[in-house]
Amino acid sequence: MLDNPNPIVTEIVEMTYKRPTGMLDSNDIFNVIRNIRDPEHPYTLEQLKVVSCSQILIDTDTKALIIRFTPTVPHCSLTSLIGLMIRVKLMRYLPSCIKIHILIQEGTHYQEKEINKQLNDKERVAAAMENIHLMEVVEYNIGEWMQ
Amino acid sequence: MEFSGTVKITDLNDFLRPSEKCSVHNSMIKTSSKNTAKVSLSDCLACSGCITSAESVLLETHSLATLQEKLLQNEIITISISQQSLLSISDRFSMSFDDTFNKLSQILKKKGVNQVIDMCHARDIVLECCYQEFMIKYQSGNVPILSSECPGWLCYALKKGDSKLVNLMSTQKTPMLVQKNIRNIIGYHVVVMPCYDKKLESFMEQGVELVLTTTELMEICQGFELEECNEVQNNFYSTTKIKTSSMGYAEYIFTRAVKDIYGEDIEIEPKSTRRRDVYEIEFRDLKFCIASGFQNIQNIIRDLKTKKSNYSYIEIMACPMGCLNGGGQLRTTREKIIELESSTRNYYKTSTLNTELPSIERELKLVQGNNLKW
Amino acid sequence: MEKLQTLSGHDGRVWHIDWSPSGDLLASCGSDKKIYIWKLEHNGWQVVDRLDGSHTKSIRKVKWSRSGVLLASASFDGTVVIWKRTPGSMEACLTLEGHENEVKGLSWSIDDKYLATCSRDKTIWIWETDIDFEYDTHAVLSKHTQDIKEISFHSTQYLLLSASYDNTIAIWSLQSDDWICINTLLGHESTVWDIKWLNNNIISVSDDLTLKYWQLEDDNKHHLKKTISGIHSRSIYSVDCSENIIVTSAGDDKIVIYQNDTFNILHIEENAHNNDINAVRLCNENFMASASDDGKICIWKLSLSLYH
Repeated sequence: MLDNPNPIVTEIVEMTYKRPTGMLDSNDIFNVIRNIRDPEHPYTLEQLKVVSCSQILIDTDTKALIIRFTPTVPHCSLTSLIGLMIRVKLMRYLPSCIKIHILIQEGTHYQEKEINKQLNDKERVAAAMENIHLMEVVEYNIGEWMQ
Repeated sequence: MEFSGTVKITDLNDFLRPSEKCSVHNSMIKTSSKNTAKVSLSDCLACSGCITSAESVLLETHSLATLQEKLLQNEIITISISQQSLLSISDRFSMSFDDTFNKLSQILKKKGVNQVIDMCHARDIVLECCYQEFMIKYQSGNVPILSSECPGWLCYALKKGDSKLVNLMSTQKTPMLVQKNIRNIIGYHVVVMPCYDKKLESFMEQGVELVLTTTELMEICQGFELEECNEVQNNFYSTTKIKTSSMGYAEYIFTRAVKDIYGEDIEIEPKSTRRRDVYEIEFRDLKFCIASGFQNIQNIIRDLKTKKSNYSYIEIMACPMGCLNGGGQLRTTREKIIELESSTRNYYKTSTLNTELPSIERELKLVQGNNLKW
Repeated sequence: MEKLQTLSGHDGRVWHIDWSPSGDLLASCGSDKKIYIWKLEHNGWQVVDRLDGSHTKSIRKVKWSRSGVLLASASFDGTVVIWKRTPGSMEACLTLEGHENEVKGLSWSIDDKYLATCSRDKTIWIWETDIDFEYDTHAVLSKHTQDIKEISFHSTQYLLLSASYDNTIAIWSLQSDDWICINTLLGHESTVWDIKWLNNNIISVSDDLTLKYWQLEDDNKHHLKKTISGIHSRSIYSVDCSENIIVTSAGDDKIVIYQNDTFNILHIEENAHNNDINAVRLCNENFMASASDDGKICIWKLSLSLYH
């Protein structure tokens, strides 16, 4: 029984570009998260338009990274899981001094406020990452092995 | 809706809904009209993660509104009222037990209820069965035995997943679950109980269609002042075994056991221990415990684990001071409960203790059953 | 303010630190599931003990008992371990089980008679101990509607504060063997991370980026007297206070020191660490320690000029 039995899947146009050396930009970040798999459907977050390059904001002054993501349906019960997967993957790729904020795209989920709070509570995230069962699901979907 | 502290409405894991630890989750998810997955309560009571959905299930089905509907539909409705609920109401209105029952009965019948009955007989039978269960286990050295009447405690013990603990628990049904058969009730059976946790219990077994709390019963009776009804009706229930706030299990079993083992008739005076709301009764080698309150559940479990407990029987209740202080009772204080307990105990003492229950053999079959399957 | 020493040792983030009552030892804990005990030797602060093996997940808090003989550790594994100080080392003597999930806060009452613990299971457990060192569950308090982040006993009375993810602070009092919630402080707009008693008044810090001061008034209740905002740009995780100063640390890698009564800023230490600072604890008017996600603990000296 899926929350969203009919997700909209978009075709991916291969992008080739050259990253200028030095600063990270939103393309780099997007490359890290685009292939995370949705926990319900056999598609990536990029294909389901859950994440996109334009929803990534880097503020080099405050060392902050703000990522907005759009759940496929406004009542999606796996939204906090998707947010957690994005965070875990980024934490592994980025230097730890970068402050990561993961937020739901405004107006796209009924429990936007509650989930945003949970996703950005460092202690909750840390405890979740010590939950074996949960991390099994996370690791499976963020893993690169199925490229 | 105030459940006892043991029944927790929480998310086991706050990133996945329902709990990812729930083994029945994948096979038994039912969808509601909103197309969101919900595990229904009857699938799994013991898992605290799944109970999150249960609250909404309960609100829909176990409410006064349901009873009002049934009353309008002209169904045959029987309401059984527990002793604790009656005590709570009689204390509030300073009326005698009998008067309270009579007046409630009149009011409810005016509203369309067909029959209003007490639960003394059902409890008598269950107590007797529990006593016999105790003797069998005690004589083969399978002690301690833990009571399982309190749904808050039972739910917690099951949730804990400790099979050693669960194996110590009594397998007798509760009075609420045997009432329908014992009193030959037909039609829609409503039971009035001192707490909300009993609503969860009724989902698991046959015999009760709706559980209302004492406070909910008083809501139905709103508009009828209890003092108004002056007609005197017959006393149609036995008052031989009105017990105290505790469900009376430890006291009953202890009295019978002492008589059987040592041949003595004794009066029980529970002794307090260093823990508040934990009492002991002792006679020679026989030692029982009566404990209430969630913190004492913790302490008892710990004592059992560390083998510090030397009781043969432990009566456990989730609400501090027992059912008289249940979550669904009319507001009261510790002092009032203590008063009430001593007055009912005195009442009990002056009545004849009738253990001759002629239909016990037959009825034992009906009540016997393992209510631990949930 | 001067950084005296940076202590390395933990493998991963350091969640909390606590000074022993006499100030001779510093205990630290972290995501490496270990507790380190540090002592000031002739060549600086050194590890004198590593407490390992008692917890299966991150250790979130450590707190010395008022007597300094015991140390309690609270972990994400749902348990609390009590360690006893023996000549030469610390020994684990007891594990308190009961919470359903992560234990996040600990506090000892004035005479160490009660130990309060709080958890994501939304409850506060009060453990009572007697002379034979038995721990009994005295009470389980349920009032908060969410995760409880920290609790703090008053230094002289059986009064307990609890700070929660539900944005509120609850005040509990022991009255004839019952722990009653005598008040709930509303005002924060997000998770309250830490709370401390300042004499009979209360200071709280929150994810809403403010520090709030609640004063005890004539009606015997605490009222919001002051809100300090605009100092920290990220969640404020920790607050501590002494006779003269208040100190806070936050996710913006800063430590800030305020005057106790006026709340004037005395000093802002930018980049005190390379990452979020989870805890800051004053030893006395002169020394302070801080713990960070960068895996380090810093010992700071507070200069007298701060106090003028």
